[in-house]
Amino acid sequence: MRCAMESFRKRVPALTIYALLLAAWWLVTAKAWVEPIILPSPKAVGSTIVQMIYKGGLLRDLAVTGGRVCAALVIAVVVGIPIGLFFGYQKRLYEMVEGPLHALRSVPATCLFPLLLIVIGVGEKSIITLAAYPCLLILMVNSATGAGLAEPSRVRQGKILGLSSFRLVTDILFFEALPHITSALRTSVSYALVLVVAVEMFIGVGQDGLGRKIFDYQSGFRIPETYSEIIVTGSLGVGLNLMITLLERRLLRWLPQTMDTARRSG
Amino acid sequence: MNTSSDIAVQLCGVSFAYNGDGDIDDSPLYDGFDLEMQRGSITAIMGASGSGKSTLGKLLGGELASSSGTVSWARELAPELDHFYIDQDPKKVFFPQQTVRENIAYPPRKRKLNEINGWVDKLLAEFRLTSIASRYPLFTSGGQQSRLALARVLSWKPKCVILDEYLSSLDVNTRELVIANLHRMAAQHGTTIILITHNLTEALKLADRCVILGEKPVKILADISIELPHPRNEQTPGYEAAEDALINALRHGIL
Repeated sequence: MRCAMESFRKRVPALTIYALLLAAWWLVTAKAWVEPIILPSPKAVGSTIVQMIYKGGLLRDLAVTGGRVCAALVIAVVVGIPIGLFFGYQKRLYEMVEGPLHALRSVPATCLFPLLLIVIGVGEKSIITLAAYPCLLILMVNSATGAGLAEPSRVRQGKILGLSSFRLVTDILFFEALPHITSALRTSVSYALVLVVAVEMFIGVGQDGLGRKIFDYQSGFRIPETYSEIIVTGSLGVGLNLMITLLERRLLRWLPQTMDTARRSG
Repeated sequence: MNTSSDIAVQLCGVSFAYNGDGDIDDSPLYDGFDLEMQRGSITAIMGASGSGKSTLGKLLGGELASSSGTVSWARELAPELDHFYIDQDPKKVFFPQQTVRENIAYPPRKRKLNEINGWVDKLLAEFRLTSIASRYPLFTSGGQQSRLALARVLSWKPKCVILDEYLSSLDVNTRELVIANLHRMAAQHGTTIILITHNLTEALKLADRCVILGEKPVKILADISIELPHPRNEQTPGYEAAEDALINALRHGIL
């Protein structure tokens, strides 16, 4: 009970800021300082969201965009982390490819989309590939760096204990890299969401997804609907970040400063 | 057959130099150094700071390789598992992602599970870690981490351990406990213990031989045997005499 009170008290400042923002929004629209075509009232947007959930397929848009983001992240995790850890284990090899990898990472992923359209074709695959690409590189580079920073004494002990290369990677290097991996995952989530929404919006692949709908509603001057889609997209970002924070807390429960780092970057 | 008189390790003509690093004096730290240690003995290696104690420990533990000469271990002690080097940083030894208990159970995992459990329980109790067995090591105190590091190394029953200033990182009560455990290991299992320390009390309480190093290149300034019954404390007959002998030898080494 006391614990619940305590956690509520900690949230008071954050909740106050949300309430103030909402109040300011309401005030601005109620006093008609801003035209409704630019900013509709909170009430109008709220009721539009409810309507769209029942009739406008808002949840479907959320599922489509969320699904694309998650698919891209899963690919990036499944491919990027093992390769990165392998590079962390084979440092010589990594030194050879490190420069090109960083160069590739510096190329804005959106530049590659036209190419992807030629190679893969228009469709889900090219959206997911585009979003997975930078995430994969970020996760790979961070896994390799983290594993490369592993405490040499621990690695030596593993070798002395007769661990196979596979066990050295899974039992030692993976955990040494894990704090780097979780922060890379956090960056990846933002990248993937931005890319999926941007591609949906401007390149018009597939007729659904939050990005496409934001663009369509805005083109048709359906402003409350536009705001509704934006708010849902923002909530998706917040939700994904929250998931990463919970995952990080779980995976790094053995590392004392986890709570602080999560709070700082979350 | 009494094997305790066998030689555990023999250093023969060992030379070693750290490479430059802006050091004006780049003459080798070790140049043709000889030393022998008996199996099952507890040897303290002492000397002033910079006298090459830690370097010797790392040469013995295989963390450094000599440029010439040989460090030859007896056959049973030859595997690297059987002459393991620990310094004062316990974090290098344990795996932070494993609980205290998992850390101790990890190295001997090739043995049968019920056998491991009994052995792990015994080590946890001996090192007073039972109450924190399910905690993650980084959430425990420095003293507990140090005890865990040694318990983890002892879990695979090494034939020799090299402890580099390890005991110095412990508080007084913990140190007594660890000294008693180390002595028991030596007495019951014939574990050879090499204790690198600047602390006179540690040498007096645990070692049966004290080798004092000094000068450059390093040589043995004094080689003193400490023949006192265990467990030892300041009231043990002969303790003061041994202490005086060590102090004299060390003072000679510093001058």
